[in-house]
Amino acid sequence: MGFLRIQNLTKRFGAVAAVDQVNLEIREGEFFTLLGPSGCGKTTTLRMVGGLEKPDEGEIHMAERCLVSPAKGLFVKPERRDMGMVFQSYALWPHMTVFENVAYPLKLRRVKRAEMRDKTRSALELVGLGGFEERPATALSGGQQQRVALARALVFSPGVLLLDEPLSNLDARLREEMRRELKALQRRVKVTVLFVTHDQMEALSMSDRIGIMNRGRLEQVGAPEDVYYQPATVFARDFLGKVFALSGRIVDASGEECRVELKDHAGPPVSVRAHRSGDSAWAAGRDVMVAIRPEQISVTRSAGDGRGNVLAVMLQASQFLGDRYEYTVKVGGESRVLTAPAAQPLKPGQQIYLQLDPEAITLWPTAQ
Amino acid sequence: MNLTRQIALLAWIVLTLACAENAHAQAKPKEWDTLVAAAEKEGQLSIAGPPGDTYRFALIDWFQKKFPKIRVEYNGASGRDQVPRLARERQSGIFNWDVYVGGPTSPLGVLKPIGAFDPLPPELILPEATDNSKWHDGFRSGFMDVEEKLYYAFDGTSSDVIYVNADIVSPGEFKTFKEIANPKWGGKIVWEDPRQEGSGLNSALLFKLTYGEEFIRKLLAEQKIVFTRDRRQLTEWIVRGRYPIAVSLPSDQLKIFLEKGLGKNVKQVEDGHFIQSINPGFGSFGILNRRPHPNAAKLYANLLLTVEGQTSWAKQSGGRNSRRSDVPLGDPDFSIKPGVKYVQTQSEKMIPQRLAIAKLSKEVIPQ
Amino acid sequence: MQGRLGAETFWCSLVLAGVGFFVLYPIVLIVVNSFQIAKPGMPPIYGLEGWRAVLAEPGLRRAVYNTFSLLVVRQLLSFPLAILIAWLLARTDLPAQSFLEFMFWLSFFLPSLSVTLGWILILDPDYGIANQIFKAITGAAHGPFNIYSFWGIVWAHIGHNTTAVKVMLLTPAFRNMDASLEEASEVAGASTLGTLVRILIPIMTPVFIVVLILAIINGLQAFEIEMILGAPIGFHVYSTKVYQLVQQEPPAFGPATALSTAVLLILLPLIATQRKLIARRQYTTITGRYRAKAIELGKWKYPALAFVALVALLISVAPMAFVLMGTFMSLFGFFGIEHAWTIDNWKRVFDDPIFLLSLKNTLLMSIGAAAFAVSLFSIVAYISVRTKFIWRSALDFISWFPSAMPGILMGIGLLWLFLDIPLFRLLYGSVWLLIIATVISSVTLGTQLIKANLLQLGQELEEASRASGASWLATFRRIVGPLLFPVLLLVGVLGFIHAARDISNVALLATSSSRTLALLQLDFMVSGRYESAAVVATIVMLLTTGVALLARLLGLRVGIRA
Repeated sequence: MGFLRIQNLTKRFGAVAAVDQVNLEIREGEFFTLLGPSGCGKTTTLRMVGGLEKPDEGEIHMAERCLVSPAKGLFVKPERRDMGMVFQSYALWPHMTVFENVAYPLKLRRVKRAEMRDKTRSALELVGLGGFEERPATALSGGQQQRVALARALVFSPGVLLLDEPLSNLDARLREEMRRELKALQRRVKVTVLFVTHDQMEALSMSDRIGIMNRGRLEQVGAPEDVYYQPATVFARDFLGKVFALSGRIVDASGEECRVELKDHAGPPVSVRAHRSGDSAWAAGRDVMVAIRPEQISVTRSAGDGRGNVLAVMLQASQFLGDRYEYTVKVGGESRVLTAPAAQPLKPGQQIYLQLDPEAITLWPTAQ
Repeated sequence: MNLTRQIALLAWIVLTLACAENAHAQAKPKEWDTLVAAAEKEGQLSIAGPPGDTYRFALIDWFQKKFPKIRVEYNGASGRDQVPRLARERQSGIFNWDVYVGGPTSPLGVLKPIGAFDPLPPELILPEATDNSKWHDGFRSGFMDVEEKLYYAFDGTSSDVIYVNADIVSPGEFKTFKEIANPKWGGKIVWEDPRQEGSGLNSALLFKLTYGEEFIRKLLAEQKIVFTRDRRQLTEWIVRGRYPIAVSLPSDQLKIFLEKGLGKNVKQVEDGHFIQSINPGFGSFGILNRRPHPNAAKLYANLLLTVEGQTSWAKQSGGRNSRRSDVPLGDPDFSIKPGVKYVQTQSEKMIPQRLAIAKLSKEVIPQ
Repeated sequence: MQGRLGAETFWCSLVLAGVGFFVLYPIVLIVVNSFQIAKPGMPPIYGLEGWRAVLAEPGLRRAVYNTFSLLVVRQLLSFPLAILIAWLLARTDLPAQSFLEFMFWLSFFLPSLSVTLGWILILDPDYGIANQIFKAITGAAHGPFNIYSFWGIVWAHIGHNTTAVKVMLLTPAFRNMDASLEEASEVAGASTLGTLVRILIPIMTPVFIVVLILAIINGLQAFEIEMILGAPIGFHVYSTKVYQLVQQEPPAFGPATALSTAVLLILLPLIATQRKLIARRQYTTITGRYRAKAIELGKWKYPALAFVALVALLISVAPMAFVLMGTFMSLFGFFGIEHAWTIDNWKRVFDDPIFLLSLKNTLLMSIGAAAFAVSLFSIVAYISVRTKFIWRSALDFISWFPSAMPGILMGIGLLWLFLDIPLFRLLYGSVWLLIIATVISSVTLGTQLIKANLLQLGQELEEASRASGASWLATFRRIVGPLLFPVLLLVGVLGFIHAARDISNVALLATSSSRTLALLQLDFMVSGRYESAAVVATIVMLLTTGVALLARLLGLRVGIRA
């Protein structure tokens, strides 16, 4: 049973369903991320959990307490939900000092003065801002403001911490640093986190589980590795990272491995391990796409021992990206891009070999 | 004013006040004492009066001092504000006021038709108040309404018409008031706006009554007259000579300048053939019916018309005179002469004429 | 635990019903009355005579033309000036900002009449001091200045309220702007002036639009200066026409209301356009990433200081000198007479038996009005900006109405309202009704000001508070209130001075026991004692200044920390 349960949650803005029948269970202490492009409904979902928006349908429960249910006419105000929240803009109050900002939730909870001071101090120390208490909130850098917002959201030990794209306003380097810190912090205080982002790197690196949202619907929920390597939908596949995809036709779907003949490609058919045999969608004769994350392809100069799937392709161009190379290759009359760490530089115009692990390949119906 | 004159005046006031006390004593002492006792029991008197601190002083200061037990509530406002308010209050069943004091036009136009006034004569029990021999042209001639019972003008100030700044324009040039239409004075005349109720309108009416409608029509239309509503500004202009001729110069304003030694060059010009008129200005009153303090109102109405009340009016109101002949003059320049018949330009009978002249002014005055 | 939206809708509806009733009831009566052709106090007869009379009113077209040409010229001159000054005061390292800003407040507190008389003293074509000096130096027969002219009226306005009020309204709005927006522009290569023109001004659009529309409405209502300087040269505007109609005997309320109704109808599309313009864009300038940083003026620092100080001197110190001087002169403007200087004017006021009562009433009413105005207007503004209340635009729309009606007519409408409703008859004549009346008649300025500033305030600041455990009310008190403090303060001070100066409402609703200083001032005016009237006006000004200073001191502790 989840600690935070979302059932059939729906929110409409006019005729558009911004959030459409979302069901979700988040475990206690879990770092759960809602990932999706802007406008997919992830922030609206988060705001409904926080009580800042009212759903049209569905229910949200936290630890067996029903927070909202339009059907039952029930709505717990945001201030009664025991949730900390960090906003995209941090939402620090410019008329207060750092201390006053962080102590605010405690003040509202009528915590005694001495206790308030201790708790606020330790919250600020937790985020690495000890000694900044008396600064005006407006006099801090972006990263520091972000930490203050975090301290404010955590200071009253909320049941759930809601994070709305908190890193999106930081520059790239700071963002990486905060990513690590945030994760470490969450492990330390063991708070349940609902995190919203459009950045797949953030989602993949920090989350225990990820929910991928698109057009108001939750498309796939799973551990970062699962959703990355085994995307359940085309959207999840494309949104999470680059894809190396080739068209072909199933020639044999009877065995444990399905065999796909690539379009306009002279080599042997490609074996795919993880197809769902028996599924009529994958019967022989179907046009399909085979897809693989580019970084899972090994690029070699020779055909090797010929085991597994080896594709001989023509290298059209290569580009040095520092830590890796980006290669443009021609497969079956079409150009494809992949990246690979380069042990030795490959020259454009030469024949190279791509090894595709049958385990890593996913099969997709050809787009209509 | 020199010292001896001041002392003489003071002595005279003391004397007349003493007489006034006597007069009360003579008039059915028992009825009077009952009235005073009843009024003091009511403890309040509410007067809707004219605006301005001078009128406020002139109308209530003496009474308040005489009867400290009766608190006088005084709300000063122009008839334009006061009358629609009173009418509306009465419509809503609010009867807050005992006595209305102010210019006759608005109350006769609005309050009389809705029956807001009680007849005065039954209220006036002091013989001194209604003594025919003491009022110019007899007591009754002060009534402004056609029925001669509701609204009474105690003020008797003759109307002034033309003033000149003698430094610039010799008063002798005005043999007759017709001179004002002489093109050579074009652009040199200032006039209180006759499109609204007031002494500017009154002067326009006098020109019409004396010289006919065509004269005033042409005068207002063609003489490039400067019209203002600001009486102080008008006065300052003639004193400074910016516009050397003034029609309807407010005498109370001129007094402010005279007090400071200015404006001695401003002279009134005379024309014996011009119509003789008086108007009460703000000096007329009526008793409202369904009043909250009937006895205090009765007491006030009686005393207002005695030497005491009228002396306060003449002395404090900034240059107005009483129609009573036995009180000092507020401004000798505008005294009314015994035996002369004056046209009362603000009586109810004159209202249509006043409206007509306001309308005419609106039509002909170039914007 | 009740449904939030249910409760919200309930309270919002209550506010709408209350404000709607107090605003629309008098206005509907006024409009109905424009078809009423019977004399006041007589049984009503309805007809189109009032409207016909307006169209036939001589000089009406000229007056409308005058109104608009005055308006356009005044705004063209004062708006850029006020923007520049407000920006210098709020966003740069100009020295003595707080002091200079207060100078503009002072200018707004100065009584119109005294200031205008002061300008006449200097710029009168014949005896004006400036012209005398010019004649003495050049030997010319005539001086170049004439206050009794179109440009004289323009000058009197710009030198008094027109500029001052804009600086007052714009400075807090500029101050609330996030410096990172400016920085971003400067990083992109824009000069400081370029940033002002390309970034700040577009961002500030909602505030500008509100200030501009208020300026237009106030321009339509402007009255005293036109009356004093325009009437003698036959220069009339819309407001003096309305006044003329109401002043005539018998008062032509029908045509006056018809004219005002027509103007209200002209203003409606303007108000609607304004709403659309603002609704289309996002104007948040205070967010939780707020950065306040002053722009360094560098070598322009002292020229800019000299410029702002000169303007402040011209529009506040100089007129204040006239006002104070006037209260100590036997006859204002006559220096040559014996005993030219006196304290009699002050004595006359202090000796007046109703002075103390009037002072007490004024304080009571003005403080009450200020408090009521701040709370009511912030609620109305909050509902129309922040809630999803279905009728919120209606509420906002209604809040514009009172200022489109001339005060003299609105006063009559409110009198009718209070007399028609039995509940209010109990309060009739008390100071409470005066407070309600002055607050209702000033609802536009305050509400729109708070609204414009609220639009600048990022919504997440409030949500963060709710998420931290604060109720709506606590959020309003601890977050919204303090962040809006500069503008709330301004609205309070405006409410105070509006009530302290109000004549049109008070003259109709006060009794002798609830009279205020404004009526005492009117008393002296009517008697031609302009000097004593100036004393009363000065006392009102001092009261307002005291309240404003006190409030500003308080404000320093509450405002945004930089």
